[in-house]
Amino acid sequence: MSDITEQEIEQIASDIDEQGLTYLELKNELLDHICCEIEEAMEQGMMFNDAYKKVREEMGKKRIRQIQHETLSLINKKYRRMKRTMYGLGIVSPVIVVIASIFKFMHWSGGSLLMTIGLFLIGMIFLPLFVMTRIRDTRRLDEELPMGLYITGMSAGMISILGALFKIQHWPGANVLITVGLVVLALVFLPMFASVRIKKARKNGEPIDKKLLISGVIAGALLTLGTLFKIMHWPGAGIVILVSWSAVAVLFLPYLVLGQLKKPKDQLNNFLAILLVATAAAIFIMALLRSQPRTLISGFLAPESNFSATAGFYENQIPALSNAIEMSGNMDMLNTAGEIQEAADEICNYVESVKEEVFKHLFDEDEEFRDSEGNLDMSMVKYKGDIDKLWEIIVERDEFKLFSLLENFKNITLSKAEDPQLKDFIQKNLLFLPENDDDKMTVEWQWAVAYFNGPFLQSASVLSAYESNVRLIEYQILSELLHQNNKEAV
Amino acid sequence: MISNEFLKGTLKTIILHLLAENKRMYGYEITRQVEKLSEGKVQLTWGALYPTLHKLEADGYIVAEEYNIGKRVRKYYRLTPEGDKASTEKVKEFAEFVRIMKQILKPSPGLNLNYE
Repeated sequence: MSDITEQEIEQIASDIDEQGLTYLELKNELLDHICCEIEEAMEQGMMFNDAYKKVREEMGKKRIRQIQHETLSLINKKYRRMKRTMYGLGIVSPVIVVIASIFKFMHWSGGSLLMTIGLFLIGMIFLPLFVMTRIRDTRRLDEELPMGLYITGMSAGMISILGALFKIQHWPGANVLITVGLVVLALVFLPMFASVRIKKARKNGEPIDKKLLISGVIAGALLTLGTLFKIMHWPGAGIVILVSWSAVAVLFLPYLVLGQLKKPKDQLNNFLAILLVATAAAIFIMALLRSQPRTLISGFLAPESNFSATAGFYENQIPALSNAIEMSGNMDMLNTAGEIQEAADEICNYVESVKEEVFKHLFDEDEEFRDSEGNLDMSMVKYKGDIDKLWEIIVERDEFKLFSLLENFKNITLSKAEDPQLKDFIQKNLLFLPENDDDKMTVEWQWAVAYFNGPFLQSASVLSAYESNVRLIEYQILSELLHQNNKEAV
Repeated sequence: MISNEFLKGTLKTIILHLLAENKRMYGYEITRQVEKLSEGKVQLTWGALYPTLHKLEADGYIVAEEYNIGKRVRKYYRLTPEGDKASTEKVKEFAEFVRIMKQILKPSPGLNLNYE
């Protein structure tokens, strides 16, 4: 049928290539079209060369490129919108995450919501869009499609970010999601990425900086694993992080900067790399902000357990005293004691309820945080460095209720206490107010900033110290009353 | 020759109609068919034809099947059910357009210079 030889077809095809036609489907079609026209001319008696020359002249030189451009722009409206959205989100969502971190750090309301929105945008919208546009681009350029790589990368990213969202919301399963996501990212996606890049370069005969690629992949994998260790509080996190950041600083970054200075070509990959590094850095910094080094922890735990023990000690002594007061039948004394005991109980009950609420917030639903006796186990808080919840309860929700309760208790007990030493103690030690060094802040605010603006473990010892002080004062006054009564009776 | 300006708006209609009549066609065949039907007065440039074909495909009006012919690949297009509906509609719409154009361009009675 065809009078055109295979060789001639190949020549036409390579001529088309030379004119910059890359969209494969269009290329095949135009090749067929040109061949048909040539065949027709040859049927009328022309030789191949003359016929081809004639068709080419009719076609014009720049036409092929223009046809491709028109075709792509006609069928691509949706795709272009998608790409614009993707780039927009790629810029906006990391900014939201950073702003959310600042909000959380400064205790401004809305921080958690912003963080959720930012992570959701990155994980559930930006990532899939990025992969979808990449797949289309690759197909359009008639390159081999590393589908496995795209799917692995996308799922690993989505699972990790889903895990982070679960973690923020304290839903069960967060740790499993984060572990799976980050492990796949570090041990499957990154090596796969390197091997696909190397294979592609080899196939196209392009030069590739293998050292850069491999050092980058190793540093990236270590960074990811280090972050995982840190989030999960597994032993060895410190070493992994130290090694990975050193690898980044000493090997990867110098290579990267040098390599990019040499050829500022592959902009999309640069964009991705910068985004990944920025996100990793943000996660790392957040992890550091939200958990305290181990050495600090025992420093917080010791005073807390001491204050708790003291409070418990007095709490056990008090029933004997109040029994004695009841037995005495002295109504005045009974009323006074009742008033003081009521105020003391109110404070201690409130403090315990606040502690319990924070515990419930700190732990996932499937985690145990009570000891064998059913009490809150402070040592379980070891790695839970949340600094927001207590502030939220004490200041924002309950509007300094604890402060008013303590003030009230102070006034009552000061009016009842006789012993000057006890009075002095109540005056100075009950509230242990910070020194007034800022006239613009109310006393309550200074108090809250001093004691409830830090890690929960630190504030927990303050709370327990209040319980212990309140019980001590209660005990002292009750015994004073009893003593007085006994003296009068004699 | 019919000028490109007129063809621009009707190219989709022409392609859809031809495919409705002929079941399946490839690009070169379409240009030839149009040339034949118009007795050489309409010559589709491929610069107009192929982008329109791809657009119709992207919109779901037509589907393509590729066949290997020796070293070449030939791409045949065929209407989808949706394209079939669109073809009828477009042709009807265009007939309406022609009727209205005739009405607009009809010489007014007073100025009848007697064509016959």
